[in-house]
Amino acid sequence: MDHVAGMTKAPVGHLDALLGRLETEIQQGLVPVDIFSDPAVFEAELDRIFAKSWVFLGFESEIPNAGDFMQRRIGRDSVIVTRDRNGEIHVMANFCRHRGTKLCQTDIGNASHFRCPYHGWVFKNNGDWIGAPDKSKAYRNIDAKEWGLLKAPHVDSFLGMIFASLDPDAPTLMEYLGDAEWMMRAAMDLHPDGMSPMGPPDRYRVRGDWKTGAENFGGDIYHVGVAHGSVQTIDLAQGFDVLNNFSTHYVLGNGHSFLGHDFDQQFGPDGHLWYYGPDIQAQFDLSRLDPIQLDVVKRNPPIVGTIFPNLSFIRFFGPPSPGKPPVVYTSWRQWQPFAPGEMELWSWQLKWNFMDEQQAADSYAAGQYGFSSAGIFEQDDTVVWEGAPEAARSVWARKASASFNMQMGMEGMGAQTLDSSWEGRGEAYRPGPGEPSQRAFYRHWLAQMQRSA
Amino acid sequence: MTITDTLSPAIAVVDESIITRITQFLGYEALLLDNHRLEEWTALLDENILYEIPMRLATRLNSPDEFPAGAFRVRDNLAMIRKRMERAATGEGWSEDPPSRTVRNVSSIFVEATSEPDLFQVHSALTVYRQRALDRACDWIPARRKDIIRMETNQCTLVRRTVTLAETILQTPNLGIFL
Repeated sequence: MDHVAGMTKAPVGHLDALLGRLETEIQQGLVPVDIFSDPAVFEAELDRIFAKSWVFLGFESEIPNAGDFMQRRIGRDSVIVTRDRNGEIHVMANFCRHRGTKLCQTDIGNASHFRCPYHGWVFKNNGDWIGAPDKSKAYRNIDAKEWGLLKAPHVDSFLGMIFASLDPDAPTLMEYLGDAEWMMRAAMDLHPDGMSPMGPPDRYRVRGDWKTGAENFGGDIYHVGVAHGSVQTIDLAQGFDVLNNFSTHYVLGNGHSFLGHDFDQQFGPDGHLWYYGPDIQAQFDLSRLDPIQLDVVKRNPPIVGTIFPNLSFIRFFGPPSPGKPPVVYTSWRQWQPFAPGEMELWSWQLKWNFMDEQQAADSYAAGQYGFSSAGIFEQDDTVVWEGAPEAARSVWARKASASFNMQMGMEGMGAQTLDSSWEGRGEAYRPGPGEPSQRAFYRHWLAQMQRSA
Repeated sequence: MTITDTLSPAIAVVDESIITRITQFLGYEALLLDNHRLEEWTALLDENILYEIPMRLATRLNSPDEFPAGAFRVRDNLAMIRKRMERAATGEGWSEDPPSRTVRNVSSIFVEATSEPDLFQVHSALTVYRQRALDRACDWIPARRKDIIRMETNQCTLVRRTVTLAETILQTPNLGIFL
């Protein structure tokens, strides 16, 4: 399933040796600690993963009108995402071609063109070079086509989400998503009006590696009872001690993974469809799903998932305020690489566009209370994730060739197996506990890192 | 109740004794929070308190987009604040256990009267130094606060607090402490 082109390796060096070690160790479910805070790894990730993959940039509804723009990131690169007067979306490098001054210095705005604040080169919001001061005297023979903003060669949308790839040879977005497209539809395509974010992303800098967030949300149910045990202790959640028993790991290829949870088994017959209340469930049009997707959302709907490299979601429930009945929230999150072992966490709360004001407000309140810079779940992730980069910087750990253990659920470790009766896309592993998603994530990461840059 | 947002010289003149009481209130509050005396701090909150930290964006000057309508990092009533405190006391609230050592600097205090004789709108600048456990990094959380404080004979209570962060991308890993 991996879209791996040209396996030619760069000259053997520190990075290649490390990747070679991972190649051997991942077969045993081991991952060298070094990869979580290594400058060479980080630089290579920006080059071989973020400049190659389809990277999420935001939602079409964040720039609804002609001229709207938002500043976003591909890896560490600042990009401008615009909607032109024809409604078309463009993704451009955020620097003036003349001397590199940032053209867009705000998070959002509306403009038909960007005028550089340094010398005044002007670009249309589709990236075209359209002029400069004293043009007739200064640039009589300039080739305007040559001097437009750098543009992402591939931009596409899926269920209202904008993605771009900087790789001219990239597969299509649908090919890239592969089997994950099917699972995303099961989670997101339950109503013709779709979903959209309530407000801009909450953003916070976390001293953890972007891969840690991505692998966690791809299927780490195992940490919930310990890292987030406090939430159960204060009666805002329940059943953490047995969560593992009800999980299905959907391993979907290309590094994408989702984790299903059997709500009926754990919470009783009303649990299906993520525990959505009847008012919300009544709105869903499940005829949009195929029979297997329907079975998935009724019996083992995905509660978290990761689209490689750095986009994840969680759909869980909690009260909008203690004492009120729980509501379901959907948080979309992105693990932005910032530095070796450091990321920015960007988090959106999504609503179903059919929701009335109160339903949306309740979902937003419950979601932000759980997963945000102040979220009672998320706060604890932000500190437990600090450890991996620290270990990666440890001389001792490196001298000892220390690796992290991702062997859970492997042969001889427990009861988890590949479900041969699974008829859906990708693979399903159950019962828990297990870490097949994490291993698949790092296998794909390795494949991307080993292809020629 | 109407609270004026624009500063009117007529109502901006506030009795010195009131300013003293409010300054003392803010200092006491900071003392309690810096010493993890959350129970006592909660006793200073009005039962209808609204504690909010709106989302903030980098925008052009005076853009209405700077504070997107309805978007927040935190919007807590008293029950939500109490649950956060309960969590901090569980022994498994890892973001603040071990707890951050904090020093709150409260300054630029400006007190306005409101149309209600017992309510005052109080602006202050808050800079929190925060170091959690043995973290090497030194976190600063710079913010402005706009409070509504009710003044009764024997005590002051916090009715509303809006915290405006100077940062659009938070540089401390979480908001596990009250601002």
